[in-house]
Amino acid sequence: MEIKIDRETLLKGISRVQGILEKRSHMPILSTVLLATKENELEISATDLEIGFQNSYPVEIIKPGTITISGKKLLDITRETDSKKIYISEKDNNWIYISDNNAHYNLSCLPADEFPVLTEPEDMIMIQIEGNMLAEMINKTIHSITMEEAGFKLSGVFMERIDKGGEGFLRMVATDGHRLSLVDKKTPDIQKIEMKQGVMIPRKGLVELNKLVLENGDIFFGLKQNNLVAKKGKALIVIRLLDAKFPDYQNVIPERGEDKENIITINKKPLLEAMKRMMIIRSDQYQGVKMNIGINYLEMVSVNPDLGNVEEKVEIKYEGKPIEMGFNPRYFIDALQPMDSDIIHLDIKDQTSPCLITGDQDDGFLGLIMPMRV
Amino acid sequence: MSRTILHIDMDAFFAAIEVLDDSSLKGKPVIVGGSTNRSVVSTASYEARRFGVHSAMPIFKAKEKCPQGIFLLVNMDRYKEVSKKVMDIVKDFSPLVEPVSIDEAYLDITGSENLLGSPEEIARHIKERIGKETGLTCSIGIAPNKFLAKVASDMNKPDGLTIISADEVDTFLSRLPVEKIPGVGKRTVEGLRHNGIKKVGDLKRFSKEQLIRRFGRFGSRLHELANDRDDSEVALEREIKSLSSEGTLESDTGDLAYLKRLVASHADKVAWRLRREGLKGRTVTLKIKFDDFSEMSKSRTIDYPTDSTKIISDSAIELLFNDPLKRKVRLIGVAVSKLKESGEGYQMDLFEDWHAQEKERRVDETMDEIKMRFGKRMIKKGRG
Repeated sequence: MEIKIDRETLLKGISRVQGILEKRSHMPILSTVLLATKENELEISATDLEIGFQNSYPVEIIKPGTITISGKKLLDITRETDSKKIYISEKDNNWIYISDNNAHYNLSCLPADEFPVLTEPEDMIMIQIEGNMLAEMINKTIHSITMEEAGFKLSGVFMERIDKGGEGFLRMVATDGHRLSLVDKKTPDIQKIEMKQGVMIPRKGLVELNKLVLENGDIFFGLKQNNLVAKKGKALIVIRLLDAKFPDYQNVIPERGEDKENIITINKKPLLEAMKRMMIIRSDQYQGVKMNIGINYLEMVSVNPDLGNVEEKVEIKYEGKPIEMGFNPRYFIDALQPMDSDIIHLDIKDQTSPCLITGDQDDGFLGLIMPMRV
Repeated sequence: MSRTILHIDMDAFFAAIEVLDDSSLKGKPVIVGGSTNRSVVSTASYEARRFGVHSAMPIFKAKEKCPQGIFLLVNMDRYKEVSKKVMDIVKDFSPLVEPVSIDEAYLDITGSENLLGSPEEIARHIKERIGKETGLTCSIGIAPNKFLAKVASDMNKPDGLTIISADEVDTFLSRLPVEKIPGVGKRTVEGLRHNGIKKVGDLKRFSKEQLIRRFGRFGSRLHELANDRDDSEVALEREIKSLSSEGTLESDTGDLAYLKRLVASHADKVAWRLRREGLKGRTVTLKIKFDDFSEMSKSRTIDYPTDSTKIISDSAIELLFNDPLKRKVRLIGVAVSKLKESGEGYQMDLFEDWHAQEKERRVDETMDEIKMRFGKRMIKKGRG
């Protein structure tokens, strides 16, 4: 293989896959990227065996071919040059020569045929989904995925198809056992996708999927053989689904709404900012904030015996009985931050039931946060 | 080089704080215990001690001995707050402070004499500042090592100040009963008595090797103490890494039903101590020493930090039944590690196992309440 490529193009292509590359060295090939010439383009692929990504970029092909090279090294080389063009050529015995006209690199690489190429499943049914909508769904759920290793069964977002009044909705739910986020979005054609009892998408896969959808426009999306496949233009992503059972989450979503008495109505901004201030004196040991809720006021108190305390009063609309509850402010910040609404509703029942969060402009979204005993 | 170690021990700490916060309790027998849990006395005021009430005594017994006592629940957040004030004062006198527990600390003031005065002056100064700034009294022991400093602080309680100077150490040890050595249990005391050892000084007649042969690893510690070679340093900000409870059996046994009861009782003690220190742990370890002195320990880590008797006990019992015992058991114990401060809150779970935990918590609390009222023997969990 022998090619000449714009530095900017290569930098974009190679930066895009850094998140997928395997950093641990038990399979060195997974830290490499595959560069392959296809017609007039250069196809850059990366995989960690759980996620595969591929995209094509314009290139000047002198001699077609395929090579693998360390993704990190190629990024560094591309970054540390002022030249507009980069020249890459394959030598004997897996040696690769790279030059920007100033430096001349000779790099020992791995044989390209060892690279575990991802193949797009054949006969795949794909539907078109609005990129912004998918991005919104990911951003409103991903923070609730558990970070604990022990919580393997919760280490992804659960996705399923929901039917509401004859219309198809795509649902994403995530929980770490203490809080839960759920988004439903109307998705025409969703019934074309075979989903059985729903699928689990791992966190890392969602991060990569989010990068893809953020680049504007619609994506094509399908499921097959335990893989989620998404395509946009020439970019392709294949995500291996988690083989895990998601807990029976429907049972924990309270059926409320009729009893308007329990609902606090509040502006998002002051609540979010107050929660951030509560976080300032928090430590691993002292995570809780006490919320004293009375007629039209919410008083927050955070105490850390090692540091001191902080108090703040926020105006709310609330007509119910006074109640004192404890919460981890981090959970509120995570839930509120991606919300679009200016007006937020917090539906509280008692000290041992979850607080239900909804927003006027957050169609299809609900958050649940379990209280703390304080 | 000769060191100067102070051991500071707050007098009847929990009870004293309660009296401080409610002056109507002054001069009355105040007994603090129970709190969210457990059925024993955490601290008794000196008035209550006159009736024979002491810490770790079951509440029911305390009620028998002192029916007019004022029984209060533990208010850990408040005690932690005062403890922090005390520790901050102590830290003004030396950077080398080792808090041992909520109401106790070691302080190394070696070399501070020129700066702050004689050890006695420093101790008086500390007592004065603690008195002025918190309204509480403490007892201080001064000695060339930690072991003797601790023994000294205990000698003239409350509000005591006891100094053991380097040239008094020998005489002091020759008069000190072996029971005063921390970590010496009944069985060791019996063993020592059997060998004619009643005072710490008596241990000097034995070589280190003889003591090790007779008392195992602990023999080496006994030798150090008897010969004034306690070099253990004042460790900064010592963090509690694990809590354990273990005991040597009256006689070696392979009776699993009996061992299960012992494990449950050790688990109960560890859980109580966790709650007293305001800690929770995730890893439960079962330790067994067999009749040939070989040791074995098995652990399991649970999902969330706990201080629940039931969860710790169940985990430890599961470990006991995991593999068949190869030999008779000489010693058995339970430890909990991977600790974190339980802090002011407890995050509840969304899914059903939370309901189970919550129910268990209520069982613990109710049992404590009942025990507080009627005494420990009244109620025990059924053996399932």
